[in-house]
Amino acid sequence: MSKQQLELSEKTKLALTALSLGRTTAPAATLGPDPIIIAPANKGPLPPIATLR
Amino acid sequence: MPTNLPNDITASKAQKISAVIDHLVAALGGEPACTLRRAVILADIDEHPGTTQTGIMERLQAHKSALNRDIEWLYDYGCILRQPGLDGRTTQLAMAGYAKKNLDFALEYFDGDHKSLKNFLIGLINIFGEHKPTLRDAKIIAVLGDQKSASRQDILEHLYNGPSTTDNRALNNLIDVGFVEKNDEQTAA
Repeated sequence: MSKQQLELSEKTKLALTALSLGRTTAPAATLGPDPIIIAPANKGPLPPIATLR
Repeated sequence: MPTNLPNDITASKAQKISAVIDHLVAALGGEPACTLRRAVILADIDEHPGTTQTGIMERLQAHKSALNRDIEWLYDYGCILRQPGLDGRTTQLAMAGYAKKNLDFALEYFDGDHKSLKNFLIGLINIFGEHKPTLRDAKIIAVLGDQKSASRQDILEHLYNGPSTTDNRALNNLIDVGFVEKNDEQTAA
């Protein structure tokens, strides 16, 4: 019997470890443009567009 | 001398990150679907009481249209107050009481320094790249960072009593984009 466990990818673990808590002396970061939401790639093709007759 | 010191440090840090996110959810109307961007903007308004939208745009290099939506959201959720400026043309923004109280709890993890909290949040946003992260996404990552490996149910129990379909969808998105990985563990039947 298998029980599915979830874990962080190595890349995410590293990025999380690099985050700083406490007071930082680094220059202030900025937000920049609002990121574009990208849909997950593996959802298959879009359905055909319906047409009116 | 413990041999697993790095993991302990990471776990401790992940627990702190998790606590920061909890305080931010409380500061942002108890809404885990709120984006991390809005938490940064809230922290900026707290740092600069009476600021204007232009002031936020300049400090955070945020685009006007996106910032408009974020400020509308913060106002609609009662996180910020709007007051007419002295010149009668600008609108000044300030924190609402409950939002300030809970943001102050989050700031305790950064020695009360707003820049450090904002840098932390922007660093967290950058982890997600093109994915637009919510507080819920950040909480999932923090819980997994703390627990190393957890079942779907374990993770959902740490979230915010929202609809399980929404929590599951958020988790599935994080799996789809590769931030979280599945690992089939064999157990005795």
